[in-house]
Amino acid sequence: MRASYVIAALTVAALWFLATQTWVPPPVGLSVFDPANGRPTLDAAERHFVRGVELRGDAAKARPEFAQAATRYDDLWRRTFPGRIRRDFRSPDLALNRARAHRLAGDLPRSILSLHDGLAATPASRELQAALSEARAAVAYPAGGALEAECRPTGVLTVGSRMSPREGGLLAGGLWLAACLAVTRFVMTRRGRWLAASAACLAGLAALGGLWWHDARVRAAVAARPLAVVAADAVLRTGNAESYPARFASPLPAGVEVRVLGDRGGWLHVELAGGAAGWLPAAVVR
Amino acid sequence: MVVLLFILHPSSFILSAAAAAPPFFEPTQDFYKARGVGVKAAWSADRTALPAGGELTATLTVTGATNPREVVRPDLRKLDDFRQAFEVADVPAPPPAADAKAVTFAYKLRPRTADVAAIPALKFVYVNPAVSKPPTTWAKALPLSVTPAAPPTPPAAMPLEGPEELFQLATGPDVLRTPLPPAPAAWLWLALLGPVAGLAWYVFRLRLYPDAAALAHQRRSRAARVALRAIAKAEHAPDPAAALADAVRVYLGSRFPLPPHAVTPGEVGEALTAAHAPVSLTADAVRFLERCDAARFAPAGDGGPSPADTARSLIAAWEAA
Repeated sequence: MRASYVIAALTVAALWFLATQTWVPPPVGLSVFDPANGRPTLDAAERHFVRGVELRGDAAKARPEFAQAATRYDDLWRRTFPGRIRRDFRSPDLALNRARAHRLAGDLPRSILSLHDGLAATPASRELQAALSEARAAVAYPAGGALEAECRPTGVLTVGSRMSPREGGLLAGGLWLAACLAVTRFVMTRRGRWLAASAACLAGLAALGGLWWHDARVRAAVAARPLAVVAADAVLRTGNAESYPARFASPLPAGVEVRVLGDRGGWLHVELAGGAAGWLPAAVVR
Repeated sequence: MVVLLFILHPSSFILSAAAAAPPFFEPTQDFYKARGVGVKAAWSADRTALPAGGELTATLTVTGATNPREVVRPDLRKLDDFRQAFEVADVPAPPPAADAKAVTFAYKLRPRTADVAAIPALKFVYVNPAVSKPPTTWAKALPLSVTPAAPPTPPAAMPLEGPEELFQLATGPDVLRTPLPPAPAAWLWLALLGPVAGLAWYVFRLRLYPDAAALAHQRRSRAARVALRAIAKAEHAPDPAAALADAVRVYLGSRFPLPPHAVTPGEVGEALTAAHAPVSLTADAVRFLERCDAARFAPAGDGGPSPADTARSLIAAWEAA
């Protein structure tokens, strides 16, 4: 049994090494400066945010500070560094700061969009998921009726929203390792239960692979129809002009999430969460 | 003849009748349909001092008109003096009684600038049936004092509401550290890790726990080495025969499950027989032990082959079996 412990310790150490050395990038050494004053953009964003928090007793003074912070966080979010591996700053923390800055600046639609950007980069982030739920709760969805059912977003549950790629990789590696060790034990003892254990691990590995395959399909389908958020109350029409009749009696409130199907003449063909489609002026959609 | 025709023409009678009454021409300027003998007009106001941007109610009172219900409201918006100085709004009022002594018209006036010093005088032309030329009266200007507007009071500060989590800022190096998905090399490592770990486990276990045949061989060899060392030492022992017998018994005990009480040659023989040891070798072992006993207790000088050589031959025979 002592040998089993030694092997288990060695394999755990190997997994830890893979998880920490192979997957985590080295610390970012890229400097990002604000072209306006040459100071680091992140520092400026944090300074404005902190200033806004200090002025939170007066919304009229605090909101411009948060807007300044949001502008800088947007700048950081858009930056990419081409190379063998494309690098950017799209971390969950940056997405969260960006969304909070927009929200406190009074721009709820852009805050929701920022959270979606963050979740597109790191779908399994629990903090971003909770923040999106909270932001959606602040949207003035119409009470009752068909429009509410159409507007309220319904989340698609996939393994990618519950498990990060790293966690998935570790789980897959653990299952594969357990399967191999069970086969080894079977060779040693010739007992059928070890073979059954190995088969169970391989079945779990196959199920995990199936879940990730489904997740990839769902994400590809979502990416084909970009997300947009209604920035101001707008009437959803059946055609791309004001002369077309309204799809619903009430306008869509600001903050409603839609999927863009196409565009024509300054109008966007959009689909609501419930499946209803219509046209909105491009100017009221972010 | 011409004079006669003029006299006889019907229109000459009309002309002569008109000449009897004073001629009447309705004025086109500043005339508001008032008729009377001594018509008067005057301004009054609810206040004469107001801040810039403020509003007052000015009332034009017309007295002496014999037709109060016919007097029309002067439209101050059409008068330059009023239009330039004030924003004007009429205050509706019910028509006066038929026998009313006075007619009033109220206006809401808002000075356009702080420089306005008075409600301007209003020229009021009326008709006096007794005179041919319409007389004019004036509503005299009413001094005003317009003070600069008070600075606007700033609106009360409204706090920024929201969940407390919104005001929390994530800081530190993780803000700009992007988690990357597993690289293809990592998947290769993982794929290799399982088989390598299994193989390593198998090899280590073989080293630490060899299989039963190898274990028996090792155990046998080790017992023989120990026995040969003990035989070599027995030659120099005080009681060589007893030491040799012990060495052989220990050797046999390491290979077969001899009970602790198997000490005499007969008991050892029975135990070896019970353990299914080779019969001939068992008999040789019993004879050797009997010989050792005999050597221990026989009189000195009894010759024969060396018991140590016999013991070595016996061990070799058992190892070869």
